[in-house]
Amino acid sequence: MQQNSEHPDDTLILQLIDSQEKKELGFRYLVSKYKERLYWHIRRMVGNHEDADDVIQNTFVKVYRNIHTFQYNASLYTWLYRIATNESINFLKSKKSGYSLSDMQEFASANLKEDLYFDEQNALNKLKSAIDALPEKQKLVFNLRYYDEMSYEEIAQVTDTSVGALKASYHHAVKKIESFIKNTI
Amino acid sequence: MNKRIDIENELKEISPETARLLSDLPGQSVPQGYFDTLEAQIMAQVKVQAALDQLDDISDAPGEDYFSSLEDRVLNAIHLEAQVGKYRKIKVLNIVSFIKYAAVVLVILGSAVLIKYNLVQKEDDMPVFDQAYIEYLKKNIDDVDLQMLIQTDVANDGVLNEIPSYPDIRHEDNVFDHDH
Repeated sequence: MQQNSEHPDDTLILQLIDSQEKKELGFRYLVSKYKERLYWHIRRMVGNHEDADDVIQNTFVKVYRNIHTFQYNASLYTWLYRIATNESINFLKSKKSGYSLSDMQEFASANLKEDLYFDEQNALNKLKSAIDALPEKQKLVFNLRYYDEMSYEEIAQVTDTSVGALKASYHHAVKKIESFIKNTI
Repeated sequence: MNKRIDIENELKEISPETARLLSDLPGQSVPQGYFDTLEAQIMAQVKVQAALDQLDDISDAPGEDYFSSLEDRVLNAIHLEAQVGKYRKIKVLNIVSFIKYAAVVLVILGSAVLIKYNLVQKEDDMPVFDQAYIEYLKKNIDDVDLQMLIQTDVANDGVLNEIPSYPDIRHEDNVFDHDH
């Protein structure tokens, strides 16, 4: 995980949030520190900017309401990712309630194509579609590892999965992307 | 940076083609200035949510410290009830004691009244014969030999006490006895 020296460390942020007088200031630091990383994580999950904007706001509201339940022996960073992941999955489920997991993947892929801010290049678009077409768990693991540069131990905290299973999941995800690209280009 | 390189190398080992394409994949963009305003938007959203939560609290949910202080309040109520119970017992005992003492006093007073009433009754109940006899003796005291009446028990003490000169006679009798 990359550390941003402009922001206070997590311990100080949590201390500020714990004190009633400076709770808002502490939370402002938290938002400032993690907003971009969480945004991109969510954006990769839901596929477009408009939905990502809704989900990031819901995520931080949820964080604000549940910050008192945060266990100090856990990492704040992975805890935030966990909430953002759950919010993204819930968003996809609610938007396509009654549909199967593969339907949701198609929906996310379609969302990606509608994204006004997506740079449209055919091959690269297919690559992006390949990632988006991954089963939800594999996509999550791939995004957390490749884009968010998380260690397998950190991903294990976010997803409640063993490191061994995560390595296998990442391997399968990359192989599926490769296969998808070979079959479509 | 080492972490980024490690991840790229890991990906190249699994699939070199995918690693190459991914490195060429342009980044997605966001509206200009989006991240500058995002923080303010989130803070506004959080404040609205906090205000709504407070409204929920006011409407029907118990206060924030309701459950944390519930135990103490229940225990206090139990102690208070116990104290009131003791007080009630003490009060009941006092009433019982009071009734007992009052009963004793009433019995004493009643007995006194009854005794007095019986005495009066006895006086009032004195036979008509004795009354007439007393009247007779009072009128004819000079003609009656009281010593003889005493010695022969014709008149009892109740009758003789009504005769004014009877105590003197009894005194004389005693003097007589002493002389012997």
